[in-house]
Amino acid sequence: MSARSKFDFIVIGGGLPGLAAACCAARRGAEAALALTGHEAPVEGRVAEPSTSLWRLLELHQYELVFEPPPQHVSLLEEGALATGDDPARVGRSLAARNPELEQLWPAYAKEMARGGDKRRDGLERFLSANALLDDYFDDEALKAHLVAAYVAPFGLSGDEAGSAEALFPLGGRRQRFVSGVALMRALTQAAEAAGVEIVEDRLHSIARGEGKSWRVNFEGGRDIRARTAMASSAFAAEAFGLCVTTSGSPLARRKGVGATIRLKYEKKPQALADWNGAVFHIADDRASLRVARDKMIEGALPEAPPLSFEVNGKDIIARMHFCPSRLVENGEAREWTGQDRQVLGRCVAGVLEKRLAVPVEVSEVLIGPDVEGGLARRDFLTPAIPAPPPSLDPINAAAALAWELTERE
Amino acid sequence: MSETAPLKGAKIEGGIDAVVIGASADAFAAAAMLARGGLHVVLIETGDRPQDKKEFSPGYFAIPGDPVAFSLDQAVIDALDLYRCGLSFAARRLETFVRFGDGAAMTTPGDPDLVVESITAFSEADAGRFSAFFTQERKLAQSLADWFSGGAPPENRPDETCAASLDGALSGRFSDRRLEDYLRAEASLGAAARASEPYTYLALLRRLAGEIAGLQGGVAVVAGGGRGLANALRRAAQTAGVSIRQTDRVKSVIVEWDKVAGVSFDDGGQLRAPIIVSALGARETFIDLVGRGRLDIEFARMLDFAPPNVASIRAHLALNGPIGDALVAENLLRRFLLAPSAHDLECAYLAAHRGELKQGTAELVFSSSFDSALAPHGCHVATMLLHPVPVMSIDDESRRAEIESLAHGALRAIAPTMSAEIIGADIEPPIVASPPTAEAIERRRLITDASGLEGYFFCGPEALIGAGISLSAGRRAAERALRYFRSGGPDG
Repeated sequence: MSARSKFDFIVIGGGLPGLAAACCAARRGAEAALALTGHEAPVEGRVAEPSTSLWRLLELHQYELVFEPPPQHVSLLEEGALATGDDPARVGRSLAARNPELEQLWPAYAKEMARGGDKRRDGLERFLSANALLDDYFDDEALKAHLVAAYVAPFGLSGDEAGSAEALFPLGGRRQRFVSGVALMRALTQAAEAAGVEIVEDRLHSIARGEGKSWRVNFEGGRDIRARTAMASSAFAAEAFGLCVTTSGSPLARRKGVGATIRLKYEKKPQALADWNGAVFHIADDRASLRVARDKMIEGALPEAPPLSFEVNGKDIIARMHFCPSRLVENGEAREWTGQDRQVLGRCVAGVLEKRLAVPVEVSEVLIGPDVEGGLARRDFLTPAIPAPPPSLDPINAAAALAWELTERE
Repeated sequence: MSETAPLKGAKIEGGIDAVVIGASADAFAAAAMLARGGLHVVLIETGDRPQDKKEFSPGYFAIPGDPVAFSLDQAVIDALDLYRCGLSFAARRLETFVRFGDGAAMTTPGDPDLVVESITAFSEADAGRFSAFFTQERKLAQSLADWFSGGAPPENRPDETCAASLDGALSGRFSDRRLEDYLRAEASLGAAARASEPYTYLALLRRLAGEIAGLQGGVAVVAGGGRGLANALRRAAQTAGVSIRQTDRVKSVIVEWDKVAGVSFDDGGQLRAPIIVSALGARETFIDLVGRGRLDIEFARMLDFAPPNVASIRAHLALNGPIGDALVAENLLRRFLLAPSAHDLECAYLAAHRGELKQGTAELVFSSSFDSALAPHGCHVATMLLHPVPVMSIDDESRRAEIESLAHGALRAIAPTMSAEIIGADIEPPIVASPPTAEAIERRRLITDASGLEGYFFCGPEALIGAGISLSAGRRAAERALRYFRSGGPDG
């Protein structure tokens, strides 16, 4: 492919959201390019299906995508389990075993959350913490910890931050099916090719806004691209790269520390997982344990028994730790992660899982996610702020929606 | 009102236009402004009264209250002619000596317009960036100043900026990260929210929006300390014709239909007045004095917010000789600021949220340098504001000891080679202020506007946002009350 230097639209950051945004822009008539930052989230597990408009625009029916219902979120408690899913009435009935009141209360809560998402952002509600909102509804600490672990912790929040209630709103949102992330990646890559998106594999070097307000993107190796419009695929990836983003003032936008992914294997299928095929599991006893983990993350220390979320794929367990320090602090000195630290973390996660699942597990890989703090420290304020979709539990559609909006403005 | 029948000599008084309840600076400011507006005002001095100078160690005196001011409301000073009532500054345009966590030091000028030179001396590479950033933020702060002091939010309020975290707004701005630490320390003093939380950028903007002696972003030392301002306000109230009564307790606020009609006391006495201004806490003002039953349900629910669990604490330390630390001794007429690293400050906040004490920021003034009567000749009184600390009682001996050692630590950090010994300490109760976040500002708007009771105005602690005394809450309450009075509110 010849090295073109002029595009209408450039998306910084790949992964599923970046591909979806670039495809969307290309299908709407823009000459689009996609630049990778190296801070893309790994593609695995399931993701929410693309919205209908994106589906039509990219003609996704040509690709073989298999749908699944949205996963149930299951908290493994010391005694038994607690599950929530997308059908409020059914969840209400299953929760009634814990407390009969919940049969009515849960659907009311889900409805209110759906309304919260649509509500105009004014009054004090937008500053409400998730914990305060949950305290208003429920008495059951295990249920509250479950909701924070499943919906709030993925943003690096432990529920007591101002504005974190916003993270609970998608709970009652429209029902979505889910698709395999790897299959969607394949489909979007083909769709990108079909739409004529150029994916630039070179390492991104710098971004500036030149004369005439066009964006100038430089790559290592000397390639230089100009584009009239630019966006970042996700606020998190952009900040990890050191870009300044203009997301709407979402309280979910900032986070300290990183997420860690730990892959493990088991030999014998644990009894505790038997009833829940394809669920996302959480281990968090109470909200205090989430807060402790958040505090430890900020202090740069490893928690002893970190709250975990995990999915099971065959004999693999993909565990996520939402509160992981980006750097470890020892005697007041910060240092980078070493192989040994990773081993310690892996063992510690395996310990938590073994205790709850009652089967031996073996660590195969420990990945520490991209570090926003490091990116922010590198950030150069002479470069203009770049638009990015707000943090969301459905990042693919959020990125596509932003690309749609930006191409409309042209 | 049968339950308040005037028995046993208790009397019902009328002919009063407004009753102000409270003993805070805002209560006095509100009472004086109402009286200047031509109303017959009775101030019921109840609650925490400002305390007198006290000898906390033989020969060493502490004046309770804030020795420095950075955001006195100029409109109150003008309206009450406070300079004529005895308000004066022992020093204006106070320079700030910043000690960083790593021991380095920097001095910033008293006039923020001159900041470039001092930054050049500290970090040449950053001088341009810092002054550009500083100028831009001060401009933004100025446009928000009215909102901070209790006015309506500006129409073109930049939402993204307001919702930013302080860390997000500062990270990576300067090549020397200690400049971030300096701004973070300035913004964090007295703010109950961690710097990494969204909306905390407002704390910095509020700090820069403060105005003292006509200088935006400046700091001054009030002559006579916190007491000096209180005396000036009392004199202003007396001159304006406010009649001041001291009592331990107001029993309740009399409400007739949806209007207030006066206050009643434990002995059955009443003061009848169509306007009541309360400077007591929001819960006391609305729930204890009026009662949930008479309040709008939504409004009563809003009062149930959790109070901040982070506070500041002021300590006075007696130093038994010359400072010894050459750098500090040269700078005794300055304000000192301890600016720890971002990580240490964050950890101090987390500790405070958990109820523990850990070294965070500290603001220090050698008050004896401004008022030599406070310490024996050649000795010093250091007045220090420590932040963040948990909200706690200081009656507990072990807690006091912990705070003292924290204050000692901060003093040692500011003056590492100090030769004087600390021979005594006085600790004031914690100061709990709402964090200067959009949340608290919105809540203040709701509390002051939406009680649904006509003639009832509020200027209590929940109306104060962030650190430092400002008098704006008192002014706003008085202005609203006057408007209500003049529009014929009490009768129509």
